[in-house]
Amino acid sequence: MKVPSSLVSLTTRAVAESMDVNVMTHVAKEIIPDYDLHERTGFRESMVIPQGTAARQIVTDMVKSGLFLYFITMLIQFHTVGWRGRVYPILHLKEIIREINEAGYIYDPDNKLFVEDPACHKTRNWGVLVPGREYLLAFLRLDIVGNSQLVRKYPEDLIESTYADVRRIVEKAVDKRNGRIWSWEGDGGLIAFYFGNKIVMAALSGMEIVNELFMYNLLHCRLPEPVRARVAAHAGIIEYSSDVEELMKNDPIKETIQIESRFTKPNTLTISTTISSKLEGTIVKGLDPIKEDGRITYYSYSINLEQ
Amino acid sequence: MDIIIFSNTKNIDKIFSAVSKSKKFSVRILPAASLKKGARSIPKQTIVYADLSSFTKTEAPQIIKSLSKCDGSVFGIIDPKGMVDDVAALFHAGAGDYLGPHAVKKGIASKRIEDVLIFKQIEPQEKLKALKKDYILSGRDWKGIAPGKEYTFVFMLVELDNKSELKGAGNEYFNFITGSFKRYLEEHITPSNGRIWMWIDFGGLVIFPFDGGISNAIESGFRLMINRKLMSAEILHLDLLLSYRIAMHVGNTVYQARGQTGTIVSDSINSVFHLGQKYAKPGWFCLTEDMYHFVHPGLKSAFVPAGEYEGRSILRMKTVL
Repeated sequence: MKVPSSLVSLTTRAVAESMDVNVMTHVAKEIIPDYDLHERTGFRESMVIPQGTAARQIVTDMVKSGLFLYFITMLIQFHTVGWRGRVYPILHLKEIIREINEAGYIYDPDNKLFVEDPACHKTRNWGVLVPGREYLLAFLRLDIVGNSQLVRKYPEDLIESTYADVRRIVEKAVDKRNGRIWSWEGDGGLIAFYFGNKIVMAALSGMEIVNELFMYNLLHCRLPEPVRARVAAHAGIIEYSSDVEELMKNDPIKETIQIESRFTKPNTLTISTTISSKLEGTIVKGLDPIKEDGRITYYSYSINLEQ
Repeated sequence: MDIIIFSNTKNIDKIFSAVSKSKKFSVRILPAASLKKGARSIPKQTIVYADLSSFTKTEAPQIIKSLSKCDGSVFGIIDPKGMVDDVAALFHAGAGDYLGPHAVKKGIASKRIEDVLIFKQIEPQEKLKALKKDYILSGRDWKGIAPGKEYTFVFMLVELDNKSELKGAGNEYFNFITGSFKRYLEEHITPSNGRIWMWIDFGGLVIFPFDGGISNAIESGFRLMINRKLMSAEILHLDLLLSYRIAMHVGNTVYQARGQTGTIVSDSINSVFHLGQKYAKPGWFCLTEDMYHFVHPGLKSAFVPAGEYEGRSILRMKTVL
């Protein structure tokens, strides 16, 4: 988020008027553990840093580090829950939040984060994931089966329109569950989920994609044959990067791709046990277990009508 | 009435976006290749557009010939590249419309389709004569429907099967489940202009306006059946796999606003209640033969005969395993 200078000034004033230098340093250290205010301001250790100077330095450093929204969430915590048993009312906090809202971010009290307002913009990291940090995410991988044969068999514009239809189905299923398409290569892609009940959201999106592809093949498919896709869901901790190639090196993503390519039949969703463990028992009972060496490693979901 | 476009061109549906939005007609796109199979591949009672740019120069005359032989449908030609030298000849061959490069670029409104139907003297009632039913078409949406008047509707009775589990779980749980189910049902029927007309404990009666063409109501029922596990997982967040039955019929009734339906006497409503509550088995989506005439061709093979009830042949959707 590009922080307007008016918001920087307002936040600096709010911090300077609401807490002493000691407390504001603790706020900064909650975010950047080795934060050294004296070093940053150039004041000697023995000198007292004026409140306004300290506030300006901390807010500026947070903006420069891309941690401004995180800093504001800390201020909200100090204001509402408090710190070490004491609540610190932050002046101008409502105005600050209003300005952030106007910039297209909304506060998610469940996750204690500012997230993009989907009505304003959508980015790969929801506006909150910081490169180099680790996060638990859920992933969905989709791949259209037999892409190269289809491309050879049918005219280019027909294939493009069909794949665009599939992408629309995927977007509809993941957008409403706050998922983000991290990569899309025409015949498939990778989707990530971070907010809310992310692991369940990934599974439900996958189920909806399977269901909607089933309907698409019956009613609207442009090809003389059904579109077949493999879908897989898995979750794990990854180190976030703004570079897609770097992202793909994360093990949970590699595993998701492997589940899709090795263990998934066409028009089927395969979910790992990391995902199934978060689903209600009755739902899991309705899935088909996939066993490896006698133990259940995955479950699959598909739509099949009686013969 | 359905408009079917045979085309391989990306975004061809943009030409008809105003027509789709009007909800007077449904627009579907099928691959151009399926039209090459001849006139028999064209569904009856539809308006068919063929995109000539999706066919070779040698195929185009054959396609026009096939279309002109097709009884029970109106056809139009989409010509984005201005390939047709003699447009008048198309109309001599029986075409009802021609969309040249300018019309393709600009898009068309639903008024144009209505003009095509007038030009080809196609009255909605004509299509239904063969069925020998006294249908009073209510249209594709609710615009022309007034309380106190009789119309033909599609009736869909939806009822939960998990009665004993729900009854024994207390009022709060019961209200939560039925409330969630009702919201989910509304999500499924709204795109087809369906409305919950009556709600009784475990389910309700949904009605859809009926224009005499392929009914999207059936697609709504079909989606409800395949989304059962998804709904149980997503909407309820409870350890309960819901089961429900659906019965569907088309027939006449006097329309009254919701909540003022107590005095309505209708054979069609009785029939759908009997079918759903006395004949359908748990988990069934069944429909009468009267309704089956209006099933989308793509869904027909998913229905199988399920006996006779009250003098009508009944079909049911194959079970989702």
